[in-house]
Amino acid sequence: MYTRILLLCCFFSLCAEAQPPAQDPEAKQRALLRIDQARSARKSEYWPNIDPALFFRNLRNNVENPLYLNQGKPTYFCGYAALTHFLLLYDPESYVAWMTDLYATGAAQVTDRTLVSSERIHEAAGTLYNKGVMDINHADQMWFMVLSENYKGYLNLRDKSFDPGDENTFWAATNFRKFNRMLRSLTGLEVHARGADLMGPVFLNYYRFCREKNEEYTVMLYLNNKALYPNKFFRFILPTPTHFVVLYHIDRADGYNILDYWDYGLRTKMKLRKRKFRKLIYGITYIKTK
Amino acid sequence: MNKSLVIFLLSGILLTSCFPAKIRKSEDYYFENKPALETLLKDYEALYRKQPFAIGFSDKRFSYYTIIMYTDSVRYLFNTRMNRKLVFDEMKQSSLTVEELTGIAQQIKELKCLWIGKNELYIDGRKTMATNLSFKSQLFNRPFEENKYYILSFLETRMSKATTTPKLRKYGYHEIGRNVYFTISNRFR
Repeated sequence: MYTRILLLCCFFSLCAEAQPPAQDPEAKQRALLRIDQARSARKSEYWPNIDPALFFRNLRNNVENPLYLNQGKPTYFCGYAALTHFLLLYDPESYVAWMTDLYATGAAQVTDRTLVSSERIHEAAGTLYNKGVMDINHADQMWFMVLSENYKGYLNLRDKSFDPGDENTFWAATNFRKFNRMLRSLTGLEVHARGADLMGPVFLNYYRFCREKNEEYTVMLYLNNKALYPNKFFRFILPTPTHFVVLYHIDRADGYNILDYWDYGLRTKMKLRKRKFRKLIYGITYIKTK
Repeated sequence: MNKSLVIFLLSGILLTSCFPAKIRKSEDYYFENKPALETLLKDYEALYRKQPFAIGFSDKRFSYYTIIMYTDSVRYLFNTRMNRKLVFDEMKQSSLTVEELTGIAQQIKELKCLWIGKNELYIDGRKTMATNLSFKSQLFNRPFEENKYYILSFLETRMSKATTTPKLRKYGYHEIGRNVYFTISNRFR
C-alpha cells in the first residue's frame, strides 16, 4: 500500500512542472525592510545622476521579483546580471546591504575586498540610454558598472577605465574565470566549475552532468548565445561563448534537451538537439545551495 | 608569367566591378514598400493583442522560422526546423492558430523581413512600445556582406515630435514619418 502511494507521489512529482528556485521568505522580508530603512528622497553626493526614487524602486523590484532582472540590450552585462539573479535568490540581504552602502558612501565591503567606484562611474550611472528597461533601472546601472570596474579579466586588459559607451564593449565583458572569481568573492561560497573560454569539457556528458548537479546545486551556464538564437544571415559566426544564464531545470524528451533557464528578465524554455546543446556549452558553474 | 599575372589581376578587378556598389536601405525603402509594411504591421498588432509573440527567419533562404511566445514570466522558443510535435504545450494552448502564424510568416517572407517583434523604448523616463521590423541593411546581395541590419521602428505612443525626434536621433534613429523611424544596427532582434 505504502509503496503504491510512494510510486504515485513520484509519478505526480515528475508530471508537475518544475518551478524556478524560490527565495527564503524571511530573508526577503529582512531585505525589503532594509530598503525601507535606507530609503531617502535626497540625492546621493556620490551619484549625481541617480534618481533616488528610481534607485529604490529598482532595488525593491529586484528583491521582490528576481526573475525580472534585466541587463538591457546591447550591453556586455550578462555575467553580472546572472550572478545578481543568483544573489537575489539566495542572499538578498547582502545584496541590499552592498547596494545601500554603495549608494550612501560610494564603497561596499564584500567577503574578500572593498568595492570602490571611480569618478567616471559616479558620473555615468543613471545616464545609460537606449537599453530598454535598464534606462530607468538606476540601481542596476550602478551595480553592474561597479562590478565591471572592480573585477577584471584578460578580456578587459585593453580597456581598463570607463568611457561613455563602454558598457557595450569589452570594458564590461566577463570571461569564465572572472565570472567564477566574482561569484566566490560575492557569495563566499565554494564555487565549482567545469570548462573554459574556448572549449567546453571534452569527456563529459553535459546533459547528465547538468541534471545531476542541478539536484543539489545551482547551475549556471556559459554558452554561445549565437547558437542559442540561431541565424545564418551571415557567413561567419565565431564559435565562442558570449553569454551567461542561470539554469532552473533540464530534461530530455524525444531526443531533445529541454532547457528551462533565466535570461534577460524572463524564464526561458527551449528545446535543443543533443548535438546542438553540446556545441552551445563552454562552461558549467555550480554552487551548493540546496 | 607577368602576362598571366596581369590577366589574373584584371579579371579580379572586372569581377569585383560587376558587383553593385554598397547601397544601404534608407527611408526610400519604407516608402517603396509602405502598403505591404502597413498591412503586415496591422495584422501583427491584431495577433499580438491575442498573444504576445515575435517571429522571424533563422536562415538566409527564408525556409525556417523562429517563434518566441511570451507570457507574464516565461518566454517559449520554437524553431520550425524541429518536428511540430516538439512545440511546447503552452504554445499550442495559445489563442494563435497555425494558419494565423503561417499568414504572418508568409507576409514577412514576401518582404524579406528577417524579424518582427516589439521592444520597449524609454524616452525621458516614459515607456513606449515600438514594433521593430528587421531587414538586411544592404539593398543588393553581395558575396561578402557586412553584419548590419536595417530596422524599421513604429512607435505606439503618440509623443510630441519636439520630445521624441531629438531623443531618438541620439539613440541612432532617423525619422521617416509620423512615429516611424529607421536605424542601422548590429543586431536584428
